[in-house]
Amino acid sequence: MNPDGRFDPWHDRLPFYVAGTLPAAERLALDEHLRDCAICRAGVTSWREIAEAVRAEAVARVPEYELLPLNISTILSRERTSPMIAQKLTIAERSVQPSIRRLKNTGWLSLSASLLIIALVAALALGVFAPLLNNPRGFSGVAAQSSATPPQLGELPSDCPPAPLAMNVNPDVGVAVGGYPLWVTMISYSAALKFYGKDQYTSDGWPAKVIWSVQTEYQGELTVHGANLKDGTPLKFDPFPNSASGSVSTTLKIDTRALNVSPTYLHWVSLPGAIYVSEAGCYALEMDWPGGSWRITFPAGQVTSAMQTATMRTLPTIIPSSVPSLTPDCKVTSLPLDSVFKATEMALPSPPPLTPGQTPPPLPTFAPIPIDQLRPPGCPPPTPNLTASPIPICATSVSGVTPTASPTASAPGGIEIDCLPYGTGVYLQLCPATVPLGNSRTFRYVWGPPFPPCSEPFPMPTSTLIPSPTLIGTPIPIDSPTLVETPTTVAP
Amino acid sequence: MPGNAQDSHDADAETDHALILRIAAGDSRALEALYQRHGLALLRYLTGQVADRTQAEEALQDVMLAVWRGAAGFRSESSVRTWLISIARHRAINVRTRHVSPDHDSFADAESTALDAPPLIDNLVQQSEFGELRAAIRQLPAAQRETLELVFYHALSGPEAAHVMGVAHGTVKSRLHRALATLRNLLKEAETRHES
Repeated sequence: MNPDGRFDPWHDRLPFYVAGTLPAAERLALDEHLRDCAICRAGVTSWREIAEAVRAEAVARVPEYELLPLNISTILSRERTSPMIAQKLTIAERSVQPSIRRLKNTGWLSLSASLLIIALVAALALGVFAPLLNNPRGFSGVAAQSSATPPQLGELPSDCPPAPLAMNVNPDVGVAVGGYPLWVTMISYSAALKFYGKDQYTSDGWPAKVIWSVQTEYQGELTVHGANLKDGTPLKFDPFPNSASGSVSTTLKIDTRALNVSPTYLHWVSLPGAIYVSEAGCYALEMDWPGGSWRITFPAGQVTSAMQTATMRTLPTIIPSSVPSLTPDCKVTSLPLDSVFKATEMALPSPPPLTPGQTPPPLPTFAPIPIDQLRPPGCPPPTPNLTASPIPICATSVSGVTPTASPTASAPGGIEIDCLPYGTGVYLQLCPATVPLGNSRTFRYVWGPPFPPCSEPFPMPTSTLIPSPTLIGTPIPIDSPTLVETPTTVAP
Repeated sequence: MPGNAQDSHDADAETDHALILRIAAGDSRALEALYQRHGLALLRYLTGQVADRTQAEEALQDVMLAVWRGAAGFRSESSVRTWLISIARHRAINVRTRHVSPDHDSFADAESTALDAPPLIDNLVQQSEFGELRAAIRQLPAAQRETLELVFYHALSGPEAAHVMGVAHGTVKSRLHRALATLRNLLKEAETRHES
C-alpha cells in the first residue's frame, strides 16, 4: 500500500526480486519501476537486509565443516534389504531406538545416534543379527527374565583395581574404553557397568547395554571375554555376527570381515550389545586379536541414591546462577545451572565414592589457551582484562558441548554438556561471540551477546584443535566473579 | 544449494536432474554428489525446523535414503531442490510430531500475527543493527521464519516455496509481508528498550 492508500502490485514481488527468483521479464519491468518509486527502492533495501540476516542465521546454525559425510554404505545396505527383512528392521529399530534415546537423555551419547541406529540397521541388513530376530529373548534379553525372585545385584564396589579412563576416541565413537581395534562404550561413560535400579534380571544375569565399536581397518577375528576378579565367574555377552546360536555366551567373537563394509567408506562400525554380570563386583574384560590384546578392570553394580547424592556433593560448584559483567563487551547474564550440574555429574562418574577423610584426586593443571585464539577472524581484539583473565569454569578438556540455543542479547542461550568422561570439565571463555572450536564433535562454546557479523563465515581454527583428553584450563575459585573448585570429602 | 540468480538456478537444476537419473539407475556416487551439493543446506533447513541437532542429522540421513529409494519416481514436475526440501520438510514434521518441542510450538500460532494489508515498507530495517535484526528473525512465528528462509536462503521462487509448504502462492506473499511487519514491531520494541 502506498502512502496515498493505493495498492502497489510490485510490493509483493520485492522479496523475490531481492532473492533473484523473479522471472526475467518481471525483473526487468521491476527494474524500470524502481527508477520512479522511492518507496519501492526503500523496500528493496529493507528486504536486502532481511535477506542477508536470514542467510546469516541459516549459516550460523550449521557451519559448513559440521556436515557429516554421507554414510552411503548404510543407505545401500538398508536399500538392499528385502521387504521381509525391512519389516524386521522396522521392528528392530523400534526396539532399539528407545534405548538409545534413553541413553541420550542421560547425556550418554555425544555422537549421532543415527550412526548407531544406522550401524545396527546395516548389521541387520547384513544378516549379522538374524539369529536375534528369531530369538524370542530379543535384543535385551528381557523376555527371558526369570520368573523367580531375582537375586540382589549388590552395590557398586568402591575398592576395585584402578579402571582406565574412558577417552573420547573420535567423533564417531565418542567416549569409550579399550584399544585398537575394538572399543566399548559403557552407559556410565567410564569403565564401569552401572545399574540404576530399573534393569531387569535375566537367566544370564544382569544385562548392561554397551556399544562395541570396531575399526574396520582391521579385517579378522576378535575375541572378548571376562570374569569376576573375586571368583572367576565369567561375564556373558550378547551374540555378535559370528554367533551361530544367537545365544548369550561367555565369549564374544567378532569377525570384522563378516560386517562386509568397506573401510574406505566406513572406518568404524558401532553395534549395540550387552554384557551380563551375575552380581556386583570387580571384573576384568579382555580382548584378543592376532596382533595383540588389551585388558581392563572395572566395577559393576547398583548405583544407590546415596551414591548419586554423594557424587553430586563431590562435584565442585563450578558455576553460579549468574556471573557479573566483566566488561561492557563481555557479559554473561545467566547460565543454565541445571545443565551444568548435569554435565558435572556426568563428568565425574568415577572413581567410586570417597571414604570419610579422603580427598578427591587433584585434577591436573594445564595451560589456558590464549584468548586471542578464540577470537573469530576479523573481530576486534578482546579487552586486555579478558586476555589476562580468562575464566575457566572447571578443569580439563571439553568432550562435548552443544548449544541449546543461539544466545541473543535478550535471551542468552544455554549450553548442554554431555559425554564427559571422568576428569573432563568445561572451559568457557567469555567473549562477545559464540565460537566453536575443534572438530565437529568437540566444541567449546563461548557465551555472550549475539554473534558479531564479522565472524561469518567462521573458519575452523585448526590451530586450537585439542585432542581429548588434553587439558585446557585450570580450576579457579568460584566466589564471584571468579570460580573455585574446592576439594571436598564425602560422607559415606 | 542456495542461489540467487534464476539463470544459475536453472543450470544447477539441469545438473541435479542428471544426478537424479543416475541415482535412479543405482549410481551411489551420484547420491553422494547430490549430498555434497545439497546436504549442508538441507541440514540448515532441518536444524531450523527441528530443535534437536541430532534429530536433524537423523532426518537428513532419512532424506537421502528417501532420495535413493524415490529417485526413479521423480517426475521433474519441480526442481530437484524443491523436491529435496519438500522431503526434508515432511521428515521434520514427522520428527516434531514424535518429539514435541516447546521451541516449535509456534507453528500452531504461525498465523497469529495477522495483518489486514501488506505493511508499508519503510527504512526501519536500515536503522536497525544487524544483530538485532537477526535476533528479531529468531523471534518470528515459525511459518514466517520458514518462509523467509525458503525465499532468501534456499532461493525458492514464490510458487516453489508454496509447493514446499503446501500453501497457496498468495499465502507465501502474505507471510512475507507479515514477517516484515513483525520484524518492524520487534525492532521498534528493541529500540524502545535501548532508549529506556
